Amino acid sequence: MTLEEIVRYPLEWTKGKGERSDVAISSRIRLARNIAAYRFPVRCDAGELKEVADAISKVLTTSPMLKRSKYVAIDDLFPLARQVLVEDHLISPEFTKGGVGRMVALDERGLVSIMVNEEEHLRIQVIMGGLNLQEVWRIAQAIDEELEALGYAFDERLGFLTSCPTNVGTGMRASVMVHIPALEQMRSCGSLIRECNRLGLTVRGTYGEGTEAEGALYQISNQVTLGLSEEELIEKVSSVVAQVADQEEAARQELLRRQGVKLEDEMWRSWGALRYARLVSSREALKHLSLVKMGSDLGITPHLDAEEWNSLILNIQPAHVEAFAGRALSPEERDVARGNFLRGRLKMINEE
Amino acid sequence: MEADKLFPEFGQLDSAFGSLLSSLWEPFVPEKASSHHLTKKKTVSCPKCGLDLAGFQQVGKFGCAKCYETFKEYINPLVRKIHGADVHRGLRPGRKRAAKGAPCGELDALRRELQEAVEKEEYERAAQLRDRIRTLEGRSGHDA
Repeated sequence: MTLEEIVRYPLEWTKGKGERSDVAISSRIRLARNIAAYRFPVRCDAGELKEVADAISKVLTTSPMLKRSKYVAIDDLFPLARQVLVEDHLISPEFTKGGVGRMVALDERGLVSIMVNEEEHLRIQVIMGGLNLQEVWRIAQAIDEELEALGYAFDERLGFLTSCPTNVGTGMRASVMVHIPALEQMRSCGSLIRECNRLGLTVRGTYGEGTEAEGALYQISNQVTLGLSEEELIEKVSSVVAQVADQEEAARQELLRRQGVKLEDEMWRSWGALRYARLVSSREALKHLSLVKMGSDLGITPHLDAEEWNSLILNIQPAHVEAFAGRALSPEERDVARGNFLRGRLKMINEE
Repeated sequence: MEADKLFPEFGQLDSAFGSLLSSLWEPFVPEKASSHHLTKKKTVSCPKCGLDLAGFQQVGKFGCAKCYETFKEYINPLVRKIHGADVHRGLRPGRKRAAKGAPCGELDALRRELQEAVEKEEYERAAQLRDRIRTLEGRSGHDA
């Protein structure tokens, strides 16, 4: 795939459909699977990694759901294209190193991606917009069934066997990305995180493990993968996210009540910065985009629909900015390009 | 940095989680281990992938499905520490899962868990499991 194709690859979740899409941005399920006949990637030699990649390729071509997907070797992609895939949450940062047998399958609808020979032989990922884990699970399960012909490593007692013991059992991680600026401003995130932990859920920054939250975006996911069924895990994550969404909405009203014009001013200043600034870093862009989204949701700043906002948070990321420019940029050039992009897009939005 | 200031708890939590993880790895001793047993087992390596315990502890990853058998007695306590459980209750490959599958699989798993609990004389847990099995059996009875 060319850089152009990758940066224009459609992502279903950005359409912003699905429930609670004011707070729940996207729902994702990842399944870790291994092929019983092969050692796990960490202990495979080059020949085995290639055999695994070929075996998966064969199954993909006969899969009704995935036969039209692109199956790409990471080594065949420009470094910038790999970074774009990371920013799209389609591959992990570690996976960009590439190497023999490291492939990614991307379906034509932008719903499903499969990392081959990452930590596990297969990481099947399905993402949709809003709070929609049930539907995401239905699709993930259908794909899982199609790939099952590979002969999964499975143990009657421990379930799906994985290289990393934290994934064993269901091998499933269900996560929802939430936008919670009001809870953040009211300093409620610490207690929210503690509460989620108590319930067996993990809360992380936008880009997964070890990253801090930017743009008030957090991922809520199940901590354990063993001992509960997939449905139970999904139910747990979904019900907590629904409660978080309720709390966020209440917090927004409370914030507005307490701060009144101060909050309005803050949101409008963010609108102004995005609409007119000439140099915008990605951190600054995320901060302002978070505020204008809350402003839009509250009917204060101009209306930004979910699809437009999702497209903005995606495309202001550094690799996306460079990919659109078509060349490597210095940090300052990138901030200029980002500013141009944001002004161009916000100009199109009715300010009345 | 901004976020650090806003959420001091966030950083604390991360470090707490880090130390939690390391405490999971450190006491990596098998069930009912004696010191003799431990030294003997340390030399065991997986016949399929060649990984030994020291190798696992270094990277925290198993080398193949066979490792789960090879290091069974070490894995069970480890898995219980990570997940707070050691029996899979989710889907199983090899059947049309959406149609049948889960409830039946869940019953099997619970029965195995019950047997284990009784063997280990964990009667409180056994009683909870028995209740859950009864509920599920009752449910499938009604469905049929």
